[in-house]
Amino acid sequence: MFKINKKNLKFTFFTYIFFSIFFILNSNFAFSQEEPLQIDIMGGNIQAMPVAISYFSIEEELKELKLHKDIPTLIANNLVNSGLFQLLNRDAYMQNSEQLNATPKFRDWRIIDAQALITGKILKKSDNKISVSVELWDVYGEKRMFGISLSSKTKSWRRISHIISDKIYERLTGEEGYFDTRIVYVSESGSQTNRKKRLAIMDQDGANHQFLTDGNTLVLTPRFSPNQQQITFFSYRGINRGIKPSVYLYNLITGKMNILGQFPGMSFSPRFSPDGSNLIMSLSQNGSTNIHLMNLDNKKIKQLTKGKAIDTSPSFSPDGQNIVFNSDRSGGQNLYIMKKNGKDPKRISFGRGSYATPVWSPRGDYIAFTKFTRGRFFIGLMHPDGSAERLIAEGYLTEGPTWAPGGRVLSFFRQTPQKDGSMRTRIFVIDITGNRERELITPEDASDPSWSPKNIN
Amino acid sequence: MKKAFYSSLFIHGLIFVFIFITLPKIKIKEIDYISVEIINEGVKKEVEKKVVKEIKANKKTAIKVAPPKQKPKSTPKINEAVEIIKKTNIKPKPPQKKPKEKKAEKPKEKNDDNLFDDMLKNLAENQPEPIKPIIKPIKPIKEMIKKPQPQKKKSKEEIKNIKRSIANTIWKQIRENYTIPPAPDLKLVKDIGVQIRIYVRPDGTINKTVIDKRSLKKAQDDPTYLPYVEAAQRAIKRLGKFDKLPQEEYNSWKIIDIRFTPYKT
Repeated sequence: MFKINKKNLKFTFFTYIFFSIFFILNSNFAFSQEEPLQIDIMGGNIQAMPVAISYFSIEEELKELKLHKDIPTLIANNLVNSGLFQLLNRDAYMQNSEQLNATPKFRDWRIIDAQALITGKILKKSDNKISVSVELWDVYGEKRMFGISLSSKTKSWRRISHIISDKIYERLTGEEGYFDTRIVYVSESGSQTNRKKRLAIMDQDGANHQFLTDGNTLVLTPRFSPNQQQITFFSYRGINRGIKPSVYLYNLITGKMNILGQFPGMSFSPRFSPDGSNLIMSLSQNGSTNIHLMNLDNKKIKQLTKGKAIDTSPSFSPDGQNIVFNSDRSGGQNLYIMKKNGKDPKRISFGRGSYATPVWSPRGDYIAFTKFTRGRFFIGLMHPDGSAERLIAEGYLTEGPTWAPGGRVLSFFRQTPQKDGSMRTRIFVIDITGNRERELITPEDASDPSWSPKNIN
Repeated sequence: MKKAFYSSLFIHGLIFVFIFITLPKIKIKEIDYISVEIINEGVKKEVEKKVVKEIKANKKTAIKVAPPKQKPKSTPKINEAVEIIKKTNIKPKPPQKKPKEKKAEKPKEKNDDNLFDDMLKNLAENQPEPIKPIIKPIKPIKEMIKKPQPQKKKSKEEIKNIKRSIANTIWKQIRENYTIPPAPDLKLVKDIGVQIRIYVRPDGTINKTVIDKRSLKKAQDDPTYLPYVEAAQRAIKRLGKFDKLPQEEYNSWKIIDIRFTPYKT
């Protein structure tokens, strides 16, 4: 079939040689390649991230306001207070704010082991307006990680600083920031027999403090609405007019206060649902206390629990599908979870002692609670299935946990007996590891804190 | 002529298929990687320059160095060029001077980018070291790849032990520089592991860092995962250069796949 002649054979021979050499070389090369070395790094150093925050550059005419120092200082305070960042000493910085208007010399910042660098400048927009531009740099990656520019009234510089802190925190941790938030609480003054309790509000760092009520009537358990514009609380406000102690709504924008409704019994422990459309609370009638849900639009009430037991302190899960509450239905005071319609209640706490005031974390992974055992009060955490119970803070009287947005930090209050027999009540902030507890400075005694959601205005 | 061409083509094809089938399967692990960045840009050329300088330096030192008789058996072999010059050495000097001269030459050859490495080195030197580092002449890359030193055949166990020791050295140096991203107490992210491949030069400098395609995509999609990728990258950049890796085993550590797992989820 095929004619085999000399030319054919020659061509075949050379092609054969060519392919053979090609394959031999190829295979030789392939076999000479070793597989990459495999290294597994499990765990690493746990330490606060070293960050450098330089003073900002500023226009000459704004210099007397000292904002070029105040804004970076406030950002630094926020980050350092989170416990996750360590501010590097400014004396060690090799570039000043003016030099940092251009791209930083990363080598200079690596010498002091800064892992992130924050630079910024402040410009005057108009007579009472400023513009603040901030940039975050990855020192080892030698790249700009993020930049933000905000304009506002000069007097709002603290708010600007908090918003910038949130953005930096979110970029570096991947978690939701909580610096641009507020805390509403009960401010207490006077003797133990004649205690004056009024509603007060402040920024999460204790600044911009103001009182919301005059203190003529007792207020308890204030709680923020999800839109940050309303506060619900329990008050004896109408008692002189024959109105039973009840749940009230306070509008932070208008300053108006309304009673939520006239109920046959006493209403207390109010808390908003995650979408803000409902209010969940306890109603006490005929010796039993049950949990009720109120629609804020039509004011209709639905009873969720029934029976002779005392069911109180309800708190929604962040998805609004479940409710955690405490009840003495099994004898001792324990924590329970039920569906949003009140069905399938399930006990989740089984330790020694009494459990109270449960609050579901905004991330949904933890439930914070107050525990009383062996004569002392504790703040504890557990997963929603009741597992991994941990006690993270303790004291003579320690209670009322409330979560910051992001679910990494929470606040509570602690009452400590003093040498003169009086009580000192203060608000504390702690993270979920239980390691970084610090006191929030308030002008008077402070209790029952409620941390606002992230500012949406 | 046409028939001849087709018949030839047919036979070649047949041979080609035959060779293809009979050749053993080539084992190549395929992982999708995207090149991201090069650390210490421009060092490549300088490494070659360095190598040439090193050879020259070796040549010079070889002339001054002690005669081969006095050399201890454990001393690593120097490349062929140096060997030839050794034979013609004129002024034999005590062998102690060799490391001294090398130490003095090193800083001159370093570029600015290595300043931070120097600082790390100095810090590391302050730590007590159980074993003194063996100073070996740096060999040209080409020789390292094409002309490996003739060695005694090592047993499988020996090879395994060497590899384990290299892996340990590398692990320690990376681990020292790896800081877990902030907020490690929030462990909701599933699979926070980060896969990185690094390419290392014979002198231990990390030449290139490549993040696994899947890790990179996840970081782009999920901002809560991004800090984990950045922390892994930061560890590599902070390290910059590996110390104490055996030159003769370069092939085994020139490409390293690293998986960073900050904590179990």
